[in-house]
Amino acid sequence: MLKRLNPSQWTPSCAAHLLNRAGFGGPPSEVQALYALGLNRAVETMLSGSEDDDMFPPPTITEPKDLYDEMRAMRSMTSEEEKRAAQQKARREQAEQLRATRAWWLDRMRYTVYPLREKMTLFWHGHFATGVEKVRAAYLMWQQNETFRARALGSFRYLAKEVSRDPAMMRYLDLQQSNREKPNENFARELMELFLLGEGVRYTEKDIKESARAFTGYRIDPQRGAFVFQKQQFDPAEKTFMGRTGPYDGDAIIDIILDQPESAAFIARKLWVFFGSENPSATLVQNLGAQLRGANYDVRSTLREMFLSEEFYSPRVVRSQIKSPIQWLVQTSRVLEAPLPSQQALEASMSQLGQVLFAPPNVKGWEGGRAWISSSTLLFRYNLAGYIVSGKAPALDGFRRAAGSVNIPLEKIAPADLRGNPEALCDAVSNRLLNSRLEAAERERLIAYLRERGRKIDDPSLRDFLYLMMSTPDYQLT
Amino acid sequence: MNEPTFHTRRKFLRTGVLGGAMAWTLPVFLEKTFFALDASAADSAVQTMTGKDSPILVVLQLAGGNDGLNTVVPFSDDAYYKARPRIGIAAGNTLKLNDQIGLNSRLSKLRGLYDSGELALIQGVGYPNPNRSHFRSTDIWQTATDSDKFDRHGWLGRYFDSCCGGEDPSVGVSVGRETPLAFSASVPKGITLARPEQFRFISESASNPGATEDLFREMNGMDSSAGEENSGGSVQSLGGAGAMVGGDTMDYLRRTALDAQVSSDKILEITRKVRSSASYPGSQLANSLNLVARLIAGGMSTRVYYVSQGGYDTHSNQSNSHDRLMGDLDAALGAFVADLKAQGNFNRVMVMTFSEFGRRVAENNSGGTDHGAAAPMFVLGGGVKPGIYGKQPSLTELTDGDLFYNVDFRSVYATVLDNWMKAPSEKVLHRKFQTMSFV
Repeated sequence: MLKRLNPSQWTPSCAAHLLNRAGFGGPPSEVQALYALGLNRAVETMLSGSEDDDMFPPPTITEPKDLYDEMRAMRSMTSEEEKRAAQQKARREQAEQLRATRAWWLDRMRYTVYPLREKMTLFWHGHFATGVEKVRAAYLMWQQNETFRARALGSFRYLAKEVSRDPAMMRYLDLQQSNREKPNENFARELMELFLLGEGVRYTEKDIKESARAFTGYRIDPQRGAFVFQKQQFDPAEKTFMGRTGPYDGDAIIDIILDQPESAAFIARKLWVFFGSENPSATLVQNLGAQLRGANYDVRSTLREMFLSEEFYSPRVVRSQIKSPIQWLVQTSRVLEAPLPSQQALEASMSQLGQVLFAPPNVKGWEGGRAWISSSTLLFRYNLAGYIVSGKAPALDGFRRAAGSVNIPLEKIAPADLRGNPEALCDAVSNRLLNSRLEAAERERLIAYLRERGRKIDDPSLRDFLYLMMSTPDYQLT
Repeated sequence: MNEPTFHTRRKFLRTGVLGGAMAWTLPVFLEKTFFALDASAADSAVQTMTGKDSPILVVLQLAGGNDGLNTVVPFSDDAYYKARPRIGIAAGNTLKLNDQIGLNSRLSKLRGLYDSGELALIQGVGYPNPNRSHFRSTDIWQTATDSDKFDRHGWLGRYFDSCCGGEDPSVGVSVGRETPLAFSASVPKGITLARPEQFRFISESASNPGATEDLFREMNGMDSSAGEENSGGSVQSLGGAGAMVGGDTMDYLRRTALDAQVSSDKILEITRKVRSSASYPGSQLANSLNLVARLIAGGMSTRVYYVSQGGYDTHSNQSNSHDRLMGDLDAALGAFVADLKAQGNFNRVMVMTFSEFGRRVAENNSGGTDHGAAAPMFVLGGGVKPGIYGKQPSLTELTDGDLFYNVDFRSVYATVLDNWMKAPSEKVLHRKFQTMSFV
């Protein structure tokens, strides 16, 4: 067990940190409300949001059956031209539906009362990375996303098995093409290397080959977009895997892998890196892994352990993480109490910032950390901040078409009584945006800047001020 | 501190070899940065003056998998026409290089460079156990690893790491939205820009633009009028005991912010001042190469430029679209070469094309081609030993329907590194690959 934080050390900035990491941050009022609950209840609140409170009608996506009929109709077309036109139309529709699905998910992250579930959904998306460029069906990506959401904080054992039967994943890693004559090793390899164990840990090339035979017979019913098991394609013979022998199927292989202590440590480490800090100590990983294993891979109990730990609130962790592009976008909207930018602006931003939902760079997912920041993405973050607070669009394709600017409730961010008080205004804004106080010299400089703007800070000056504070290295951290 | 060195650095910062208003009261990490910058600035000054002693590499990616067989057409081989009854290009419709192969008819400028001895063609380039995923295969080309190995760092990034000790952020410039994996390095260098006019902090202050931009620069380590107090973390954690937070991560962010700003100033200045000495067509690739030519003319100390042309994933009805791509490629490269020659920089520059894979030998049922394996590469420039290298792979002895490679692409990289960039390829590629004689 990790050493717990003494509840007396629980402060508003601890609450802000919990809200940032277990969710996507929030305005001072939300931080205050979470703080008021005290450590234990605050953590339980984050862990136990109710699905019923969260109503987001699903995006409009062509159902597999209709898509299947469309494809069949296309295949029977005799005129090349007609066929091409139909294909183009289908491609356009799929692309549009995918954009709608991204917007739908971002909207959930922005407005959900259960942010940890969305955050874990994002974690699983990066962990079991699946890219639409190969899956080529918005419905399957959405369906996988719903699986991640439904199992977000549940049993990792169960989720891993479900993912092996997830049609999007099956397409992405060629599982649906694998059969007893020619077992495809793509999935089996990534299962161990990226999903359950880590490269070269405890397994050999022979184990990959043997386990590939266990994952045969997995097929997709194209009319339902659902998993079906085709017994004739399954290899029922004995497999020797990680020193054991038996007529294993895919689930049995997953169980054997999860029996390895390294597996629990691997997942625990990845959870800590995502929620906590980049370089956890070996002891911490070992303890957290033992906890996860002891809880039979129940993710919720491991998250609880993390969020209650002293280490999680230590200076090594707090404000040490570079916001992912998605975190940046959603957290910015949440702390400004503003809507998300338009769909076009979001699309252009995700692509410029290097994190397009449903399109991770490869099966390893997003690298994260410093990889988010290049000279170009950092400048883009700055200019995007300018767009959000002032509506001045960067001269970029996606933004030229972007409708309108983002409506920011300036009166909420700086009520009348703060407009004539530069010190209080500076503190309020830095607390809202950075959840921390500025260093004295920098605070003085910003206050001087506000003073130069006259006795009362008007809206344009306030926008400049927000823009400035968001165009800093500090703002990239959470 | 050694006074003369300090003096030099001050002078350097004042004169602003690398950009506008720089300050010299700097936080610790900036001190480190600028000590190194100083050394590399000396290099860059020499480069700019002599203009001759630093070779430049331009990597041109043909994204999507270029159809090598319709780029360099093996017209003497019947198997070609058998495999491609619809999309095969007739012998008379190619620009013949010899009695066996001819270039796509749209590649007339490249043909001219071949004739004038400034172009090398390398046939049958690929790698063992080819991967047919765009992404994976692109990664393999960018990291120069075996096809079953992953590397976080790209081959150009490893070149920056091991051979560009200075801290000049613009040692690599990628034109486009994303930093290519090839640039990924353990000490990140290289900048990425789509259009120079966006590569800046857009100060849109309504009330007081100058003051806002000044303060922005200050907060991003560009100015130090706030004094030494600014060193260390500017934000302290409330959760902790006031220890500096972010640590290296904060250093990294500040450094990137500074790199971006320093190069942004310089790039904007150059692109405002330098005009092209040739007329370019309107394609995106032409725009990218135009920008590269202006940056070269403006005296950037950049060693590697990276540009790309997309659209090569020709699964259906490819004849027209592939010809158009070839035409765009040829026109853009033609203008770029003319521009460099007019500048007098052609002998410093080498352009190398690559694509993640070639395409299937046999056309598919939609008049297109599916993902394949080996394909040709072009290398052109004043320092190229012209000719045809490697050999055309057999069209009948295939592996899974694809051409078998006879030149490992890393031999091409090794040649460019060793013989052109004067960088030890073994260190960069983690292995000794046989070099070729095109440089």
